[in-house]
Amino acid sequence: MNIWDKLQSIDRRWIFLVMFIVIIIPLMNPKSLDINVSEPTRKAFERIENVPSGSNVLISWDFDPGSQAELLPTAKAMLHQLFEKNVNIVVITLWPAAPTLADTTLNEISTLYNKQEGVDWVNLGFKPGLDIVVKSMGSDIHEIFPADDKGKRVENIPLMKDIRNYDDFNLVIDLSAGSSVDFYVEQAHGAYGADLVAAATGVMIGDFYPYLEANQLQGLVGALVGAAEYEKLMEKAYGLEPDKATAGMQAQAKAHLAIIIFIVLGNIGFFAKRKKTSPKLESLNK
Amino acid sequence: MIFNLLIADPLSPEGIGVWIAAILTIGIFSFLYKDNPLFKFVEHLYVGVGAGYIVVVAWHNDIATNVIQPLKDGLLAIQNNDPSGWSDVINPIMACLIGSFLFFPVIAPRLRWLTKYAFAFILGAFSGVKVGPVISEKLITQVSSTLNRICATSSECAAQSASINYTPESSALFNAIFILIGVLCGLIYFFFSLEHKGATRIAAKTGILILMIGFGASFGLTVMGRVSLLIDRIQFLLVDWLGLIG
Repeated sequence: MNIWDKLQSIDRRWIFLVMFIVIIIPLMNPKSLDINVSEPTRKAFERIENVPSGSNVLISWDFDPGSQAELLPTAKAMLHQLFEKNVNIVVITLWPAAPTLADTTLNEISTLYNKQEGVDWVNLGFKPGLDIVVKSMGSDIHEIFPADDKGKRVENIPLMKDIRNYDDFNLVIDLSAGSSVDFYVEQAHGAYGADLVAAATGVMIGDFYPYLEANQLQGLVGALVGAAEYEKLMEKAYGLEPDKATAGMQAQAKAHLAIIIFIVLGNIGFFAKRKKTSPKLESLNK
Repeated sequence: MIFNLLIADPLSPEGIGVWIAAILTIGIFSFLYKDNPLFKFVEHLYVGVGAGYIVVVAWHNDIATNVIQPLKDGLLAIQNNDPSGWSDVINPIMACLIGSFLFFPVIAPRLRWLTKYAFAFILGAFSGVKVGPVISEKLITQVSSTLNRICATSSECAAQSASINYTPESSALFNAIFILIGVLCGLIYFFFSLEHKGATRIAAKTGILILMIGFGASFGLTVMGRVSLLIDRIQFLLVDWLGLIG
């Protein structure tokens, strides 16, 4: 068995071990990484920056702890930005496991800015129905969300008194680990003309770039790399210390390099083996 | 390297959660070595807790607020001779009735035919909500966006529409033509009414090449996402549990 044969039959657990080591080393040895801000992320940041103080923003918190690695850093950075700008925040979610994560994060960040629940922000919680929920919010948000996440009636929440539909929001932000951006583009933007900014996971981001090109989205933050870019913009604009996304980007870069090396070696082994075995195959065919 | 070991205190209220999460994380990762009882336990626990949590959330956020509360309000209004209370009573009852039809194949097989009406209602409602916006936002807007890119490279064409910004750069023209060719070739690949030979074959081959590039990019982004999840868990183990960094 030569080296190429060995490469083809390597135990996958060695690959897991290498990946683990490749990720741990940069995390233990953090070095500054030059992060270039991409155009979609810059657009998202600038659109949120243009939200006037005192106006309302709807955040659709469509991710649960399973996707928090990619989306929570972006969510946190955006919440910091909105609270810094004294913008009122209404949070809803189309994901059943999201309300607690949203509530914890909102409580954590709103405390830093002395923002009051019900006055400066509100979490209306989860509602099943996907498209139907997004469409219904165009006519009357009180009807589809009669109470907030803690069961308080919306008519008794000061922030919700003047908010009825998309017309009352300067911007809609969708933090999406699934295809909820589609619903907001089709219903909120298409039917009601709401301005949209989205943040999405790496798996989904490819599907949403066409919306950005067609101006159906005003900005798009993609995966951990987008979150790191957003943290950089927040550091530059508000002096906010970069969080987990920036710390994770070095490990991400090294992990990608390791994967590329594995792919190249695997392909070299595959072609070398095929070259060696092809005469036999030809004779078999004869 | 910083070796400042500050393991979370398992007896503190925050620490106990961190320890449980760390043990469960290691339990899940242990599958990477081989299947084992700890992984099986964590897997079942995850599914059970997830299902239980969703049931509780659905009860509080949907049944309690959209069914029970309106029923209470409606009945109270009827008691007070307010006729508007009838809609608050009838709407949730009708919704629950139609929804309950979905369970009939299991709980009352003789009445399973009623399930068709529930599905008809759901499909009809979703079609009504989806079809128009999908045609408008995913077809018409996307096609016009592709053509607008070409239009934006000509000052005369761009001047005719306020929504198109004139972009004279040669890179913009290249991108516009490349995207247009990509879209057309991709569509030709899926056009089976014409035999793929001659110019059609070349276009279809170009189409599949572009589709492959798209799938490759999509796969790369998926791998990127999965690596991010792994980094997050390792960050949790190193920072929150072991206190090795930060």
